[in-house]
Amino acid sequence: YNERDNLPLLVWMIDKYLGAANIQYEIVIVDDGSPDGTQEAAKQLAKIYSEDRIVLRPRPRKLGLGTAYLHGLKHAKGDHVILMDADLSHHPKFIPQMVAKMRSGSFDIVTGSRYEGEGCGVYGWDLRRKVISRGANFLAQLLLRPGVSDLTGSFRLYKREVLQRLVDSCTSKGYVFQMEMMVRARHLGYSIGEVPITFVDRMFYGDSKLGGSEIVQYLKGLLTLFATT
Amino acid sequence: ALTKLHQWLLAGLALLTAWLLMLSGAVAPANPGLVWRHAAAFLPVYCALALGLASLITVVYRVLTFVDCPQAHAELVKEIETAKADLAKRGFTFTAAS
Repeated sequence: YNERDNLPLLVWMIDKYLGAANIQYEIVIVDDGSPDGTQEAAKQLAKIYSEDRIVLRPRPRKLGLGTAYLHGLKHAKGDHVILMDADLSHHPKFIPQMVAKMRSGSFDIVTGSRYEGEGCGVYGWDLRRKVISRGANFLAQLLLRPGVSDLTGSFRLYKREVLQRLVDSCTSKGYVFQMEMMVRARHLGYSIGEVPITFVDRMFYGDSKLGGSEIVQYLKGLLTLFATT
Repeated sequence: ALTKLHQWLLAGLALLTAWLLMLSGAVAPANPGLVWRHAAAFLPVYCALALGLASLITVVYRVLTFVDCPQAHAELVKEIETAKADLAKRGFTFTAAS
């Protein structure tokens, strides 16, 4: 949403790194009626990179992340799907690494981890954000024992049918949705590999993104998963 | 399969049983002195404190060893400049602000 400036850069980088690794790709852009001209940018990119590769499937207004995934999935032609943020905090250079990991380990899912592995890390997080992140992750690990080091991350590679099944069965919102995907995946017996990633936060939302109500939502979601899975 | 909640309740039940056995004297050393009786009585409290402390130390340790990657940011900034130039060459028009 409102990624008019980042979208062209993201597409350029995807094309650069996937092209270099000889990975055939298609980018499905689900825009929820951004007023800043994101769709206009997408159309320009489709002209530059070919309309086979840049697929714009907009929606009339903000309808939520889970349904955005479903919507995008409906229009995706590939048999593997990468979900990632469009604000450049997820770098496409890790995609070939994820693909390699999936092939070498025959995993159903490969998730980026900001916490573990050589080369992982974050940029732009102050002490407060780090404390909340580690605290929340610790609690989730303790309660859910998920076998995945980065539960709330959203940079992941899925086999298509795995993603379809997961998105159909997950019901939470926000951070908890990402956690629920991993927890349900384990429950359904899917194998999950991890690749260390760097997460560059340029937005510096600071307090606004991790305020009291977000924390409460997170705890409620965590306890729900604890009690139902 | 059992939910995590059920697993915790079961584990809690097992620990509770063990503790009650200790309190009742059924499980005790040959000569239970004052120290043993005190420790047995307050065992749950000590365990909770120990777990709390271990958790705190773990989280503090993880915060302190959180990996920062300023070089990733620097590289990204450079790459963005390259991308903008290349896109402009290929006919992409950015907004005035970017």
